[in-house]
Amino acid sequence: MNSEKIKKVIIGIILLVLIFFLDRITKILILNIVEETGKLDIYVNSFLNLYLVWNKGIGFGLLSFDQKSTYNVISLLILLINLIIIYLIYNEKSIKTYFLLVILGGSFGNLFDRIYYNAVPDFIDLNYKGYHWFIFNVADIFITLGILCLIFSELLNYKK
Amino acid sequence: MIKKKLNILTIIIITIFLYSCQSAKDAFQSKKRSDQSDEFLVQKKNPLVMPPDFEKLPTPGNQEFYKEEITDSSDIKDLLKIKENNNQENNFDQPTGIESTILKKIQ
Repeated sequence: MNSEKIKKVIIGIILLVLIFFLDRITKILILNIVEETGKLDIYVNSFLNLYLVWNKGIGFGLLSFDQKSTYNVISLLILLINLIIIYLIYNEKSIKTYFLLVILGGSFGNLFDRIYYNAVPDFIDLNYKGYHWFIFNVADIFITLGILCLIFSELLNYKK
Repeated sequence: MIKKKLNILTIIIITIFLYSCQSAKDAFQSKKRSDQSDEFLVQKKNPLVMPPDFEKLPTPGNQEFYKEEITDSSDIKDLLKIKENNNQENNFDQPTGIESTILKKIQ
Protein backbone atom coordinates (compact mmCIF):
# COMPACT_ATOMS: atom_id res chain seq x y z
CA MET A 1 0.00 0.00 0.00
CA ASN A 2 1.62 3.24 -1.13
CA SER A 3 1.60 6.49 0.83
CA GLU A 4 -1.06 8.07 -1.38
CA LYS A 5 -3.46 5.20 -0.75
CA ILE A 6 -2.78 5.35 3.01
CA LYS A 7 -3.50 9.08 2.91
CA LYS A 8 -6.74 8.40 1.06
CA VAL A 9 -7.81 5.78 3.59
CA ILE A 10 -7.03 8.10 6.54
CA ILE A 11 -8.99 10.98 4.97
CA GLY A 12 -11.86 8.57 4.32
CA ILE A 13 -11.91 7.33 7.92
CA ILE A 14 -11.72 10.90 9.29
CA LEU A 15 -14.61 11.95 7.02
CA LEU A 16 -16.67 8.95 8.09
CA VAL A 17 -16.01 9.44 11.81
CA LEU A 18 -16.59 13.20 11.55
CA ILE A 19 -20.02 12.79 9.92
CA PHE A 20 -21.01 10.02 12.31
CA PHE A 21 -20.09 12.02 15.43
CA LEU A 22 -21.57 15.26 14.12
CA ASP A 23 -24.86 13.43 13.70
CA ARG A 24 -24.51 11.79 17.12
CA ILE A 25 -23.76 15.11 18.87
CA THR A 26 -26.87 16.77 17.42
CA LYS A 27 -29.04 13.82 18.37
CA ILE A 28 -27.63 13.71 21.91
CA LEU A 29 -28.22 17.46 22.31
CA ILE A 30 -31.80 17.13 21.14
CA LEU A 31 -32.48 14.12 23.34
CA ASN A 32 -30.98 15.96 26.34
CA ILE A 33 -33.40 18.86 25.75
CA VAL A 34 -36.26 16.37 25.59
CA GLU A 35 -35.07 14.72 28.80
CA GLU A 36 -34.99 18.08 30.61
CA THR A 37 -38.17 19.66 29.27
CA GLY A 38 -40.24 16.58 28.50
CA LYS A 39 -40.80 17.46 24.83
CA LEU A 40 -39.15 19.17 21.87
CA ASP A 41 -41.13 21.79 20.01
CA ILE A 42 -38.79 24.70 19.35
CA TYR A 43 -39.67 27.50 16.95
CA VAL A 44 -36.40 28.67 15.35
CA ASN A 45 -37.82 30.88 12.61
CA SER A 46 -40.75 30.95 10.19
CA PHE A 47 -39.10 28.26 8.05
CA LEU A 48 -37.53 26.03 10.65
CA ASN A 49 -38.84 24.24 13.73
CA LEU A 50 -37.22 21.63 15.88
CA TYR A 51 -39.76 18.95 16.60
CA LEU A 52 -38.84 15.44 17.69
CA VAL A 53 -40.38 12.38 16.08
CA TRP A 54 -39.20 8.80 16.22
CA ASN A 55 -39.07 6.94 12.92
CA LYS A 56 -39.26 3.17 13.02
CA GLY A 57 -39.39 2.77 9.27
CA ILE A 58 -37.23 3.91 6.37
CA GLY A 59 -37.16 7.12 4.36
CA PHE A 60 -40.34 9.22 3.98
CA GLY A 61 -42.03 7.28 6.78
CA LEU A 62 -42.27 4.15 4.63
CA LEU A 63 -42.32 0.64 6.08
CA SER A 64 -43.07 1.91 9.56
CA PHE A 65 -44.54 -1.06 11.38
CA ASP A 66 -44.88 -1.91 15.03
CA GLN A 67 -43.97 -5.53 14.44
CA LYS A 68 -40.52 -6.33 15.81
CA SER A 69 -39.80 -8.95 13.16
CA THR A 70 -40.45 -6.50 10.28
CA TYR A 71 -38.28 -3.90 12.00
CA ASN A 72 -35.42 -6.40 12.34
CA VAL A 73 -35.70 -7.45 8.69
CA ILE A 74 -35.50 -3.79 7.56
CA SER A 75 -32.52 -3.21 9.88
CA LEU A 76 -30.75 -6.22 8.39
CA LEU A 77 -31.50 -4.94 4.89
CA ILE A 78 -30.00 -1.54 5.80
CA LEU A 79 -26.95 -3.28 7.23
CA LEU A 80 -26.60 -5.21 3.98
CA ILE A 81 -26.80 -1.99 1.94
CA ASN A 82 -24.10 -0.49 4.16
CA LEU A 83 -21.88 -3.50 3.52
CA ILE A 84 -22.45 -3.07 -0.25
CA ILE A 85 -21.46 0.59 0.06
CA ILE A 86 -18.27 -0.43 1.94
CA TYR A 87 -17.52 -2.86 -0.88
CA LEU A 88 -18.10 -0.11 -3.47
CA ILE A 89 -15.82 2.27 -1.52
CA TYR A 90 -13.14 -0.38 -1.41
CA ASN A 91 -13.26 -0.88 -5.19
CA GLU A 92 -13.87 2.72 -6.22
CA LYS A 93 -10.85 4.79 -7.13
CA SER A 94 -12.45 8.03 -8.29
CA ILE A 95 -13.85 10.92 -6.28
CA LYS A 96 -17.03 8.85 -5.86
CA THR A 97 -15.26 7.22 -2.91
CA TYR A 98 -15.76 10.38 -0.85
CA PHE A 99 -19.39 10.72 -1.89
CA LEU A 100 -19.99 7.12 -0.86
CA LEU A 101 -18.18 7.79 2.42
CA VAL A 102 -20.49 10.74 3.14
CA ILE A 103 -23.51 8.50 2.47
CA LEU A 104 -22.02 5.76 4.66
CA GLY A 105 -21.33 8.19 7.52
CA GLY A 106 -24.94 9.33 7.56
CA SER A 107 -26.21 5.81 7.14
CA PHE A 108 -24.11 4.59 10.09
CA GLY A 109 -25.61 7.37 12.20
CA ASN A 110 -29.15 6.22 11.46
CA LEU A 111 -28.26 2.53 11.77
CA PHE A 112 -26.73 3.16 15.19
CA ASP A 113 -30.01 4.73 16.37
CA ARG A 114 -32.03 1.86 14.92
CA ILE A 115 -29.97 -0.59 16.97
CA TYR A 116 -29.56 1.54 20.13
CA TYR A 117 -32.98 3.24 20.42
CA ASN A 118 -35.03 0.90 18.17
CA ALA A 119 -36.06 4.04 16.24
CA VAL A 120 -34.36 7.00 14.58
CA PRO A 121 -34.89 10.47 16.07
CA ASP A 122 -35.86 13.10 13.46
CA PHE A 123 -36.10 16.71 14.54
CA ILE A 124 -35.53 19.19 11.67
CA ASP A 125 -38.88 20.43 10.43
CA LEU A 126 -38.64 22.70 7.38
CA ASN A 127 -41.84 24.46 6.47
CA TYR A 128 -43.16 27.26 4.32
CA LYS A 129 -46.61 28.78 4.78
CA GLY A 130 -47.94 25.71 6.54
CA TYR A 131 -46.44 23.25 4.07
CA HIS A 132 -44.09 20.91 5.89
CA TRP A 133 -41.30 18.92 4.33
CA PHE A 134 -40.49 15.53 5.83
CA ILE A 135 -38.92 15.82 9.28
CA PHE A 136 -35.29 14.72 9.04
CA ASN A 137 -31.99 14.70 10.92
CA VAL A 138 -28.35 15.61 10.30
CA ALA A 139 -27.53 12.11 9.01
CA ASP A 140 -30.19 12.55 6.31
CA ILE A 141 -28.56 15.83 5.25
CA PHE A 142 -25.25 14.05 4.67
CA ILE A 143 -26.94 11.15 2.86
CA THR A 144 -28.70 13.65 0.57
CA LEU A 145 -25.45 15.53 -0.07
CA GLY A 146 -23.68 12.29 -0.92
CA ILE A 147 -26.49 11.12 -3.19
CA LEU A 148 -26.69 14.44 -5.06
CA CYS A 149 -22.93 14.47 -5.59
CA LEU A 150 -23.03 10.84 -6.73
CA ILE A 151 -25.85 11.53 -9.19
CA PHE A 152 -24.05 14.58 -10.58
CA SER A 153 -20.82 12.65 -10.93
CA GLU A 154 -22.75 9.88 -12.65
CA LEU A 155 -24.34 12.38 -15.03
CA LEU A 156 -21.09 14.16 -15.75
CA ASN A 157 -19.23 10.84 -15.78
CA TYR A 158 -16.56 12.49 -13.70
CA LYS A 159 -13.28 10.61 -13.66
CA LYS A 160 -10.19 11.66 -11.82
CA MET B 1 -27.12 6.56 -21.26
CA ILE B 2 -29.57 3.83 -20.19
CA LYS B 3 -26.90 2.41 -17.90
CA LYS B 4 -26.45 5.82 -16.30
CA LYS B 5 -30.17 6.19 -15.74
CA LEU B 6 -30.33 2.72 -14.24
CA ASN B 7 -27.43 3.54 -11.92
CA ILE B 8 -29.13 6.74 -10.76
CA LEU B 9 -32.40 4.92 -10.24
CA THR B 10 -30.75 2.18 -8.15
CA ILE B 11 -28.92 4.83 -6.09
CA ILE B 12 -32.20 6.60 -5.34
CA ILE B 13 -34.08 3.39 -4.50
CA ILE B 14 -31.29 2.10 -2.26
CA THR B 15 -30.92 5.37 -0.39
CA ILE B 16 -34.61 5.41 0.58
CA PHE B 17 -33.61 2.62 2.97
CA LEU B 18 -30.77 4.70 4.40
CA TYR B 19 -32.93 7.77 5.04
CA SER B 20 -34.96 8.12 8.19
CA CYS B 21 -37.11 11.15 7.47
CA GLN B 22 -40.75 11.00 8.52
CA SER B 23 -43.86 12.69 7.26
CA ALA B 24 -44.60 15.86 9.20
CA LYS B 25 -48.32 15.27 8.72
CA ASP B 26 -48.19 12.00 10.68
CA ALA B 27 -46.06 13.63 13.36
CA PHE B 28 -48.44 16.55 13.90
CA GLN B 29 -51.50 14.32 13.80
CA SER B 30 -50.05 12.24 16.58
CA LYS B 31 -49.13 15.46 18.40
CA LYS B 32 -52.71 16.67 18.28
CA ARG B 33 -53.94 13.36 19.56
CA SER B 34 -51.47 13.39 22.42
CA ASP B 35 -52.32 17.01 23.25
CA GLN B 36 -55.98 16.15 23.39
CA SER B 37 -55.40 13.22 25.62
CA ASP B 38 -53.29 15.32 28.01
CA GLU B 39 -54.99 18.67 27.99
CA PHE B 40 -58.62 17.75 27.77
CA LEU B 41 -58.50 14.64 29.82
CA VAL B 42 -61.57 14.55 32.06
CA GLN B 43 -61.76 12.26 35.01
CA LYS B 44 -64.32 9.60 34.34
CA LYS B 45 -67.37 9.75 36.55
CA ASN B 46 -69.07 6.65 37.84
CA PRO B 47 -72.64 6.14 36.60
CA LEU B 48 -75.43 7.37 38.84
CA VAL B 49 -76.74 4.65 41.13
CA MET B 50 -79.39 4.55 43.86
CA PRO B 51 -77.89 4.69 47.36
CA PRO B 52 -78.37 1.43 49.26
CA ASP B 53 -80.37 3.13 52.13
CA PHE B 54 -82.47 5.28 49.85
CA GLU B 55 -85.65 3.79 51.29
CA LYS B 56 -84.70 5.00 54.79
CA LEU B 57 -84.33 8.65 53.76
CA PRO B 58 -87.06 10.90 55.25
CA THR B 59 -89.86 12.27 53.14
CA PRO B 60 -91.05 15.89 53.74
CA GLY B 61 -94.33 14.84 55.39
CA ASN B 62 -92.88 12.20 57.65
CA GLN B 63 -91.36 13.66 60.86
CA GLU B 64 -91.38 10.50 62.99
CA PHE B 65 -87.94 9.49 61.82
CA TYR B 66 -86.42 12.74 63.12
CA LYS B 67 -88.21 12.52 66.40
CA GLU B 68 -86.93 9.02 66.93
CA GLU B 69 -83.43 10.12 66.10
CA ILE B 70 -83.65 13.13 68.41
CA THR B 71 -85.00 11.07 71.26
CA ASP B 72 -82.32 8.49 70.74
CA SER B 73 -79.55 11.04 70.82
CA SER B 74 -81.13 12.88 73.80
CA ASP B 75 -81.39 9.60 75.66
CA ILE B 76 -77.75 8.95 75.13
CA LYS B 77 -76.86 12.45 76.30
CA ASP B 78 -79.07 12.05 79.36
CA LEU B 79 -77.43 8.80 80.18
CA LEU B 80 -74.01 10.33 79.80
CA LYS B 81 -74.97 13.32 81.99
CA ILE B 82 -76.30 11.01 84.62
CA LYS B 83 -73.15 9.06 84.57
CA GLU B 84 -71.08 12.23 84.72
CA ASN B 85 -73.20 13.55 87.58
CA ASN B 86 -72.93 10.23 89.34
CA ASN B 87 -69.23 10.36 88.98
CA GLN B 88 -69.16 13.92 90.25
CA GLU B 89 -71.45 13.00 93.13
CA ASN B 90 -69.28 10.05 93.96
CA ASN B 91 -66.31 12.35 93.96
CA PHE B 92 -68.05 14.77 96.32
CA ASP B 93 -69.14 11.97 98.63
CA GLN B 94 -65.63 10.79 99.15
CA PRO B 95 -63.80 13.44 101.27
CA THR B 96 -60.23 14.29 100.56
CA GLY B 97 -57.42 13.94 103.08
CA ILE B 98 -57.60 17.51 104.48
CA GLU B 99 -61.37 17.46 104.73
CA SER B 100 -61.36 14.21 106.62
CA THR B 101 -58.90 15.54 109.20
CA ILE B 102 -61.00 18.69 109.73
CA LEU B 103 -64.13 16.62 110.07
CA LYS B 104 -62.46 14.37 112.64
CA LYS B 105 -61.35 17.39 114.69
CA ILE B 106 -64.87 18.87 114.66
CA GLN B 107 -66.37 15.58 115.73
